[in-house]
Amino acid sequence: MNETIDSILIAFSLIANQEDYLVEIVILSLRVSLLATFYASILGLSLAALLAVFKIPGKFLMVAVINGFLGLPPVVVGLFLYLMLSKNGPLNFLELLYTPGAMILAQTILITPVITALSYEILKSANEEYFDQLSTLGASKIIISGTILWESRYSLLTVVVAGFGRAVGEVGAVMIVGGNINHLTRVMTTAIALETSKGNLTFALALGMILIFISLCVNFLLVGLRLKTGLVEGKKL
Amino acid sequence: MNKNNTDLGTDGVDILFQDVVLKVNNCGIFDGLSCSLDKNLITVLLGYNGSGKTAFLRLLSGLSRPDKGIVRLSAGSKKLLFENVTMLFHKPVMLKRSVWSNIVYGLKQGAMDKSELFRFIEDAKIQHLVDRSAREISAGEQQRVAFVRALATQPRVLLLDEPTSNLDPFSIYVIEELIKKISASGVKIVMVTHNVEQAKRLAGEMIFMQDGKILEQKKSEQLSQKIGQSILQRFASGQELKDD
Repeated sequence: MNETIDSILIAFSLIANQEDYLVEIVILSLRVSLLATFYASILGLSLAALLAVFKIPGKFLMVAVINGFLGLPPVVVGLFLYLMLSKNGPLNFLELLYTPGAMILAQTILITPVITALSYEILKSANEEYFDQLSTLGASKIIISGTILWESRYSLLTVVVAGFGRAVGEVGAVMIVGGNINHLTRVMTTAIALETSKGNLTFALALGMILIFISLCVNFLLVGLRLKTGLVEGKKL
Repeated sequence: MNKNNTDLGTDGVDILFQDVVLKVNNCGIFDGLSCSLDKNLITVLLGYNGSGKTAFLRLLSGLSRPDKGIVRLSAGSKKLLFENVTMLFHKPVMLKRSVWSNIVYGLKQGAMDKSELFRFIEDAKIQHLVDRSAREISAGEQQRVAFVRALATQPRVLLLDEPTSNLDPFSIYVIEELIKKISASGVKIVMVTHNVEQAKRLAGEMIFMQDGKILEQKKSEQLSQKIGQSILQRFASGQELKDD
């Protein structure tokens, strides 16, 4: 119990003093996870809209594979990416190994299936609601895709935030491809893992609390937006 | 049966069904359906649930494609129908935006000048609603918005699938007046309804469907004769039809 209280005090102290070490890893964590979420959202939402609106051969197989990738083990993804980016790997020319770029790539691979699978379900329902009407108004399938993405934007935002949540809390893949190098690739989760392995549990717990705080802030943002959606949809007669 | 029971000739024909076969999930809806619809008349489709009326409209709209046969714009034309056809559903689908944004959704740049659009809005009596959220207004108002939105695309053919079901008498009156006005302006209208009185008020020609077949197709002046005395009366009174 004392350890928990100490951790809370250290967490407050770290935040209050804006320790360089902490600021650095928080900023890097947010940068990596936000960029990964951005890229995964572009990929995932486009693919989901494509699957929802267009008749594509093998669609059900694709959806099944994407759903299967929902539970991709981060360590396996990290290892796979490490092999791709390492000296003898086919993507060595990118020179991304042990850089934030590799961590962004790993997180993008991990959360793209999450965003695709969840938004596909939302967009499929929206397509069922809108497709016939919009196509008889002369809208092409591309236009319909854009329309249902816009009409479902609040629900899709939930999906994107869920993707961010997965990215920011991920440790296995970024540890392998980032290497947890101080001042270069150390993020919140890898720092927690390192401090724990050093036996510095109080400090690790304090970092964990800050991570939870950041996660809660993102969720409060989500709740605020959902509330706004609820108000808009609540007016529906 | 289908071919023989259509009394209309090919003169002035705007829409032609030729030996149309349609299956949905391996279930036969139409098996060699043929008919022609007069471009100058409001065509009203009547029939029991499951008789194929909506499937008929979906073929006209291009939402469904026939497994065999063709749906063509006119007897002499090789052009298929699906361009310039707009369909209105019995439950209007409103986008989560303002009434005005819904109306101009399908509007191509410069396709229709605003004064003409405002005339439609006034005819539909929705001018006081244009700035409101389309999801906030009543079902009758939504249907009138959907009507104007359909007209904004300047269709040559307008398909109406039970457009006044569950609406109040005022909305029904407004929509019926719009239908007459649009038809008078040269837009071909094909409409599904279960309301026999409404069909009599609007129909230039009436088609009675059962089990994916056209049981009767008559122009309005012939309605009081065969259809009026037999099929229509029985349909209106809720009696089941038997093969005559």
